[in-house]
Amino acid sequence: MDDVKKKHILLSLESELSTKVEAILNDCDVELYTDELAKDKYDFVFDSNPSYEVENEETVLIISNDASNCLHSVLSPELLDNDVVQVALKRFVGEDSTIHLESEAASEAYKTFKITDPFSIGHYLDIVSSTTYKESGEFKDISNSFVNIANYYIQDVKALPIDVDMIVSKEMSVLQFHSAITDSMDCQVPESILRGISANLVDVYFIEKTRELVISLTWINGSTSKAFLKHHLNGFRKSTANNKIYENFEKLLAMSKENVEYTPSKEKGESKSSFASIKKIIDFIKGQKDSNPDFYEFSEALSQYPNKEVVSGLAQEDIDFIQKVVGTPEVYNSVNSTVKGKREDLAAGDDIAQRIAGALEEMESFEAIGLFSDEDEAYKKISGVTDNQSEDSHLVKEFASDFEALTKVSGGEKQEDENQLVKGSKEDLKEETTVISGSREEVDDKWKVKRSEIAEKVREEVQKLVSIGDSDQEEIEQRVKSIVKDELSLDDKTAEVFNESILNSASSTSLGENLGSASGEEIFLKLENDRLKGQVSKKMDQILRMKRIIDSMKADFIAKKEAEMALKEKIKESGDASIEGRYKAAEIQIAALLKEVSINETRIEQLVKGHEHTLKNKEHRMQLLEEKISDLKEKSLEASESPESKAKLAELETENKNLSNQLKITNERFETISKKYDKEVTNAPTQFQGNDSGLQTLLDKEKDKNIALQQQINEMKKTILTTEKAEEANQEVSPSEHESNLKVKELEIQLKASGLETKKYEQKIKFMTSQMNELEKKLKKVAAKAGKSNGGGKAGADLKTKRLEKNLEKINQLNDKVQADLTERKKDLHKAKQENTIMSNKVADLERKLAKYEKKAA
Amino acid sequence: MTERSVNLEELLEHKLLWGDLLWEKKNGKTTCIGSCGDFADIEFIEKLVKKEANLKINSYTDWKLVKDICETFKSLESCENEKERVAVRESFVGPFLETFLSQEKGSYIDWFTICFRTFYKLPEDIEEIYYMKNSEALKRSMAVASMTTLIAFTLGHLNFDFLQKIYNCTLIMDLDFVIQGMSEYHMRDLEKQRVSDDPSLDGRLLSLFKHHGANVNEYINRIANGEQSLINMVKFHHEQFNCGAGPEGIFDSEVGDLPQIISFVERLIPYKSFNLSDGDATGSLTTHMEKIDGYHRIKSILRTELKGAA
Repeated sequence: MDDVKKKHILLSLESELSTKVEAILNDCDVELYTDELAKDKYDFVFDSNPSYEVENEETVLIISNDASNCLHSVLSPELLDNDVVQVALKRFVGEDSTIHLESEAASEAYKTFKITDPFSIGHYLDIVSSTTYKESGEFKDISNSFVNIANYYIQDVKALPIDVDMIVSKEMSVLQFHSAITDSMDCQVPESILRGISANLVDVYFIEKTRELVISLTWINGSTSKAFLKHHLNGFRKSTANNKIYENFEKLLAMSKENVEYTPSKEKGESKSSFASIKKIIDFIKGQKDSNPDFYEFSEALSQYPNKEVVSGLAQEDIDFIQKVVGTPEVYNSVNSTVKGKREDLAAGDDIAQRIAGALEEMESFEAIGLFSDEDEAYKKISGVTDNQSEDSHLVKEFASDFEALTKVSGGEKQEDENQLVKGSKEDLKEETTVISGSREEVDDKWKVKRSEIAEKVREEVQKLVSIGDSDQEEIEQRVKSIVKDELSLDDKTAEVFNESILNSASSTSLGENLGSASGEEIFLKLENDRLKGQVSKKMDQILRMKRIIDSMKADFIAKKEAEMALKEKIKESGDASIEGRYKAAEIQIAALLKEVSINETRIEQLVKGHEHTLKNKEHRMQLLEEKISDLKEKSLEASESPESKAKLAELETENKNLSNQLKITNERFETISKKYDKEVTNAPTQFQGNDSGLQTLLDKEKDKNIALQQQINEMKKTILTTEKAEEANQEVSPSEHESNLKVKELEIQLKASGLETKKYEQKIKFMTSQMNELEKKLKKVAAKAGKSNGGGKAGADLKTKRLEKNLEKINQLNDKVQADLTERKKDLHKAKQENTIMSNKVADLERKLAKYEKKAA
Repeated sequence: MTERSVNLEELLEHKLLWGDLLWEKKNGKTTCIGSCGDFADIEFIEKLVKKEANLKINSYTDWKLVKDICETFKSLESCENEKERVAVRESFVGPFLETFLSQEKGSYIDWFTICFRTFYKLPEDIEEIYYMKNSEALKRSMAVASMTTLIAFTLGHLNFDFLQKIYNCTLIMDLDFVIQGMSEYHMRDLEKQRVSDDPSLDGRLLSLFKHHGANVNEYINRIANGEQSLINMVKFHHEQFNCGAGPEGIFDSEVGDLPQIISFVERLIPYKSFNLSDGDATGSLTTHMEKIDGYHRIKSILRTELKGAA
């Protein structure tokens, strides 16, 4: 029997998720950890980051909704509530289970059969399809998956027979395959097969003891969440036969098709309209609404859309989507920005020339006319009519019914004699009326010719740009604009409008193609989802960058601290080192401090900006999501109880939850980063303190120096006294007197220098104090803003505020100390100055006396 | 049972004795020179025939049943699609269970003969090993192979070639044991273990050979191209899946049907004194079947199908 070792699992998840997983695995033979430092190595790691890198051969499970291309096993958090998924999760961590589905099934829903012939898949496909259809009315997904997996076993893995167990009920459908395989490497089911499976849960595992490869697919009705588990197991340790279902075993063997009649359901409004055409209708109706808001009515505006064929092809959900977009400015702007945002992808594609030309070719005449500010001008430009001709046309219009006017029509104003023949000259009349009337069909024809010409030119020019390699998006767009401007003789403003319309149309078409035959709303929601996901990933990148910055700052801080310690030791060792040396050391420290202060300032600015930006985005996102939810809720209430509506609602709700969760995670990470920053800030004052003590030391030494100077001055006094005595005795001035004068001078110089130094220290202290004050202010600001933005963590905000207050207190205390020292030094300086002046006066007296003596001597 | 004379050609044709072969000596005494289900000792019989000995056989075989079911399996072999195979199975299951589980109709020799005629394809060199070392072991293996194959067919293994592989792989399940010297003493111990409550193969002589099922892969490669499902079937034929007490410690939650079928039949068929001609052989098997723990799926289908047939 195998050793039953407890499995050690690290849960690197949000607290809510972590709690859920703990509850599920509560009765399993596992040890759960939330602190990665608790052990060196784990058997399993449950994480929410799809980019998790394996460190010690641990088995990884990513619990997240955003892990589509992840290499590890993946589980959507919403599925954790499902019983089947919970069983699969327990099996994943090594709990006992069974390869036979019957142990988990009620007898009515369970069927089994074996595929022993490679060409018998069709027979059992019929059984699977008919059984599934009988129960749930659908069978497409399950049928496709059945064929894919059966073929995988037979052709890829070369395994026969295949045991297939099936459960089909209203709540869920399960297909489970197992067969003994020769090569354990074959249990890597290729991605190409897995991508074709639409099941909510795909569980692939290999049992070493018996070499059974099991692939289990579960479809949960009403759920769009996904899970993919892949793992190796040594084996199971229990018998799990379900005796109840054997009472009527004959019914369990699925040898024949179910007797069920297939009636195709009326497909409810499957969208046949492309996203591009829906977008055009949206723009048209929006234009109608904006131009005449008082008399706007949606259905009337829709009926006025010139392309009736497109309108008739709209599904009800497309119409609802259009109405919603037109009716909600924020959604309309969001659609536009999404389409515009995708133009970058268009520029990056190889077929941009074809796409833009194609968009032009699909532009209807009414669309083109709508882009002009004036309809008459539009007709002229499209028709290629000049200004002169247009004047004549205008005259003719007015007098069209008049015979005299007709006479003018054919030849012009001056040729009256010839006009007698006008009535008969049909050709002339016809030409003029063609130009004048501007009937829609005629304009259409002219526009078609014109647009083809422009499209061809655009195609050539853009292709040239792309082939040269000069395929900058802006340049391409500018080139298209200039071509359109030239060809249609447009002013700059109209050309810009035209250009935007063409490019957006190309972008919409490209989007619609990429997203298949989904309805407009589905496409929009998918795009919106992608956009928000993109924003979230950008935010994640920002966070990672911030983290890196903080890590590097940490390293810098540690290095500086070490350097400072070394410097202090050096200073201590140097003892009677020169004042200059000490001064230099102080300078170095101060320079380092200043540098840190500037770094902290920039960091604070970044944090503040980041916070503000996040807050804005969050609010905007929440707003959009709330709108979405309210719209969808209304829609679901109106719509019938169909699986599609339910599924869509569930999908949107899950999306909403997912995005909210992601935002929560983002906020939490911001909080941790802020906390880390706070730690750094709290350490900063200690650095000041340390520096303060360094400065203090210097100032103390300066004091000592002053004392020494004072002593020297006293000695000098004595010397002067003796000199005076000598003078009284009429003795000649000895060389020692000169020396004493020189010494006095030296002392004066030193005193001056000391005074200068003291001044310098004062200035530096002032500067540092001002820096500290600024830092204090900024910290207060950050604390205030952090308190506002971190609505989800009031306790965290309070803690932060307290920390900031503590920091502030420390800084204030420090400031007070420095101020006290400064005043003392000032006092000392004043004393020294006074003494200096006294000494100077005495020296002056002595000099005068000397001069006297010299004279006398002379 | 019918007693009648039999000639050499007939014996050569059948190979397997379909009843007890009796030699009526000139002194009027009758000696049994071959039991029902044994391979005919052709060499000895030829000698007797040369001496103009009178040979008789008391047949227990229902030849009509044998002929019908052999035809059924022939049609299975020629089926072109799964639907046809399902239809063949339906025509087979009723008679199988009726004769198999009923104490009054049929005997084991019928199915023994059917499977021998339909599926037997053991290579001659392997046959030779059995003849030289322990032909009783081959006979018993054939009994196990017959029931295993038929139950597998009943449970949905419908491909004829695969059924043939099941049959022939089961024939070699004890081959390694035989090669290493499986004797009458071993078979006695194995019989004790089969009928006792003690699930472990802990007899002194048996413990050395408990992994014999895992040592025949080279032969399985020859017969079945090394298909893992058949390797597992042979390897796990001594397992007790309801409690994991076999040599490999496997549970029913970890294996497919085939190992469970062979393990069930392995515990059903006696090693010693299994009289294929016994009219109520199946009856005793049925009684014993009820005592075996686990194998609910197999027991259930056998009971259920019988109810359906009735």
